[in-house]
Amino acid sequence: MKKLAILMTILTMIPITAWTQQEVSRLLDTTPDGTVEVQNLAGSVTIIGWERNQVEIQATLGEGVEELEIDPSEGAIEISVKPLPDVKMFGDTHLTIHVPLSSTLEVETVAADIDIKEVTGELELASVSGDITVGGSPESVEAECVSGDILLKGVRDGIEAASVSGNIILQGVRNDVEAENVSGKIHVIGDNLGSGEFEVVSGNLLFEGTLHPEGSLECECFSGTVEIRLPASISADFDIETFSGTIVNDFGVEATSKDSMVSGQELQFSTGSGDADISVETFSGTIRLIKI
Amino acid sequence: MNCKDFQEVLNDFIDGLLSPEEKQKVETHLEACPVCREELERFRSLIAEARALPKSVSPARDLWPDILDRLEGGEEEISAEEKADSRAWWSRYGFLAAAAVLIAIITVFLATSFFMEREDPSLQFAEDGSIQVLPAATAPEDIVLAEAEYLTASEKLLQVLNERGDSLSPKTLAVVRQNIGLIDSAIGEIKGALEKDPANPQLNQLLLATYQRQLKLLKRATALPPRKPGRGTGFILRDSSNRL
Amino acid sequence: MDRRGGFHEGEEAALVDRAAAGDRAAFERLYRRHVGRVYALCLRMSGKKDMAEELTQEVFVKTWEKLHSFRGESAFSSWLHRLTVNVVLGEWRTRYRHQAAVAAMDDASLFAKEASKNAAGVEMDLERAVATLPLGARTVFVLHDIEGYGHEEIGSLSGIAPGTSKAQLHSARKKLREMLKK
Repeated sequence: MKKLAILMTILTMIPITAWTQQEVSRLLDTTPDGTVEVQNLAGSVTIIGWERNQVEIQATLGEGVEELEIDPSEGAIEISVKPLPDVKMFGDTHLTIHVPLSSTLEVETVAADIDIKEVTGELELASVSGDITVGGSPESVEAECVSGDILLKGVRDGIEAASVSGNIILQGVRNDVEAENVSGKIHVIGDNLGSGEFEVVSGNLLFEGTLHPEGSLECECFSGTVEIRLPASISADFDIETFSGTIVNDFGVEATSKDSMVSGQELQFSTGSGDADISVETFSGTIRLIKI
Repeated sequence: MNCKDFQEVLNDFIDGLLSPEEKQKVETHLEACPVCREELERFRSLIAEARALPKSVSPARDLWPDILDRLEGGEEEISAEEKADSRAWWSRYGFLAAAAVLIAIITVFLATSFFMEREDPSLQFAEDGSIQVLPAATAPEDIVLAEAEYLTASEKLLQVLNERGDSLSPKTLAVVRQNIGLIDSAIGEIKGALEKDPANPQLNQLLLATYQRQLKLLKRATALPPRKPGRGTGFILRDSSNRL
Repeated sequence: MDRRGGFHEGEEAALVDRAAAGDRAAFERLYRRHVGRVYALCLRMSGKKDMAEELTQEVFVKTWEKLHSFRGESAFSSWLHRLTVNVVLGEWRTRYRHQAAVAAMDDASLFAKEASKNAAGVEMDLERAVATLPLGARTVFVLHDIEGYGHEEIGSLSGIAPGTSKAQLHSARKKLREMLKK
């Protein structure tokens, strides 16, 4: 009896968390090319395009979240995670949302990862520390984060990616590609690249792949290393310059030292019929032109 | 302290930059050394004379009519190319109105200031008589003034960033600060190179571009959403990636 | 800062606002108030009268253009002063950029050339002596010892690092003392 009494006392003294994980499931009718806006704090946001004119939301709300606000209006649906007032701790909220294929998306998170698949509209994605991953062929992508990574797989045109310390990896890009980073790296695989502009401060920049005959590639790095890997058959005009770094060139021509007060190198040459334009500039970073 | 030492610290002594101990050493030496005392007096009178020079000197003729002429002709309409970000990435979180206003001001200011592409490049005559066309944004007066303006803008933004300290996770704040420091040291490197080659147009252009980078980073950092919407307190407990 | 009868900060702020909005009459009043200070700075920094007149005009034209960016955090005269320093330094670099002799701001030979002009024994007064200093040293001396700026401020005004600013100041003082036998 005594043991039971003690047990009972102990049990009543331990507060049992009454919180249970909230699940949300909603299905809404919408227009084929409307806008879906999503905000989340921590956890993940996964958005998948489908052929229905409906938006389906499946969510598992994390601790500290009061509710998932779903606000449909004319041509747009707003989905946002609403936290409990005066709560100091947030768990992960996972959102899985199906949207019409040609929707326009605006997603903003603090730490939640963003994953977009098969949506063909315009994408505006921003996170502070979450990773951003995009697959499929959206019309355009603007992706921005501070310490998260940005990975675009097979997105071809209309890319603007910016990070501060995360990595930016662009695979299979073609036209109107711009990426900038500060200490994170940029790794680009170009597929018949039409136009690409890449800028990094101290991170490294790697471009590999092929350029369109009328393509242009502009790379700027402050102190990071720039590596350009091109097939031996590349036909391009090269304009390579570094203020105080060095240039290593596989394509036969050696860089000359700049005729100025400080050390530095520059290199201008053409291969093939000098079709594409490649320009690389660094302040102190090493530049490597590599034959693959 | 001997006379030679005194010579070395003379400037700092006059400018009041010596520590109390050093000052004492100087005064002790002066008591014993009439030569140095006299030198100090003469130096002091030079500085005093400089300080007493009239701060205002009227030009020999009235310059206003000429100035007025130059005002009448060619006043360019400067319009802001960049408006405050109307896509309102983070505005939904209702972040500090003050910061938003500040960012709007700075955005407009950046657009109307030296960071805009000028249409008329400046022509310079080189030593050998040839004419060089400088890229528009590197006219030297632009650099000097742009720098002062950059310092003001970056100071303001840093202030805002500091004020919102705990609405960003410590890790994010650390990343932001680290990268601001990184760009700062890049600026330092460029300026170091410029000291040896002040007229170099590529360097000047790079400096301006790097100022822009920094301001852009600061702007983004001040506009990031707070961890706790609406209040800016609290932290995120668990994060699916280990980045927080 | 000049304080004439009837002038106080609120009134000047109103003038600046009107001038920024395009009121030329208000701008002329600002000009009358501040031209002496601007001209003095231009004269001392450039060392030449006709250049100083040209620079003063340049300063006020630029002021007219940039007035909208004056936010009122500091006194208008400080803002104007800073703009003046920038204009003078910028103008100097533009004009003399192609002259190798002036590329190094502290070319000792330039100074020696000027100093030898005075070998005939004409008594140097301070203003004349300052005018013969090389640009870097002269700039810092004018800003520090005549105008009273600190090295940090000189750094932000002119892009000269505070360490360099101090070195320039000491160099300027040394040269002046030699010239003036002080």
